[in-house]
Amino acid sequence: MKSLHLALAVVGTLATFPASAAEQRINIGVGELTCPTCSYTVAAAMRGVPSVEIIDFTEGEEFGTGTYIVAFDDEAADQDMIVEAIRATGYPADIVESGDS
Amino acid sequence: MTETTSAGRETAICETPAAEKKAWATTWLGALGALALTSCCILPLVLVSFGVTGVFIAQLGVLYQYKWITFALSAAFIGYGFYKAYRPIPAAVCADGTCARPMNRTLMRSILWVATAIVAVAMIFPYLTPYLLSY
Repeated sequence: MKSLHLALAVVGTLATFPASAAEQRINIGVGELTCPTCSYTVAAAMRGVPSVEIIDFTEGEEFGTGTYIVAFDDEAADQDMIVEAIRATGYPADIVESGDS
Repeated sequence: MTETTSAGRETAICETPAAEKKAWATTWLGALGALALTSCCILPLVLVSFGVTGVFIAQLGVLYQYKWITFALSAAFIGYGFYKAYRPIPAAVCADGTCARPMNRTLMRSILWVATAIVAVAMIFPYLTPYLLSY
C-alpha cells in the first residue's frame, strides 16, 4: 500500500510539470493548388509527418495559393520535415511569416 | 442464339467482328475517361492518404482544368456504349441461328454503369469536398 502511494505521488508530481517537448506553430505558404481537393491533398501529406496538426488554411489572394497554420511537437518533427513532405508531392512550399500570403 | 432477359431485352447480339471491336473499344474508352476524371482530385487524395508520394501528385491536380473536356469525351463514349449495349435487335437478326459469335452485352452494360457512377462521383466530389473533408 505504501509503495502504491509512492507511485501515485510520483505520477502526480510528474503530471504537474510541463512536458519538455514544446508545440510549435508555423505558417506554410503553398502554391499550385489548382484543384478543389489539392489543399486537402497537401494537408494529408503534412499529416504524414508525426505530431503535425493543421490548425487552419486560408486561400491566398492569388489563384492557387494558400497558407496553412500548422502545429507540431518540436521533439517529433521540425519545420523542414513538414515543408519537405509537401514538396515531395510536387507542390511548392515555403515557411512564411504570419501576415504574409 | 440470343439470351433474353425478363425485360425482353437480349443480352447477346450478333455483330460483325469490326462492330463488336468498336463497341468494346467505346466501352473501354468510356471507362478510361471515367478513371481520368478521378485522377485530378480523388486519386491524389487517396494515394497521399495511403502514404504514396511523388511529384506526380501535383501534376495530377493540374488535370482539373481539363475536367470539362475529359467529361465531354467520356460522356460521348459512354453514351455511344449505352446505345450499342441497349439498342433493340432487329427481329430478323440471328433468327436463322447463324450467329456464331454473339456479343455478350451484360458485361458491357455493367462496365458502362460502373463508369457512369464513377463519372458522376468524380464530377460531384469537388463540390462536396468542403462538406466531406476537414483539414
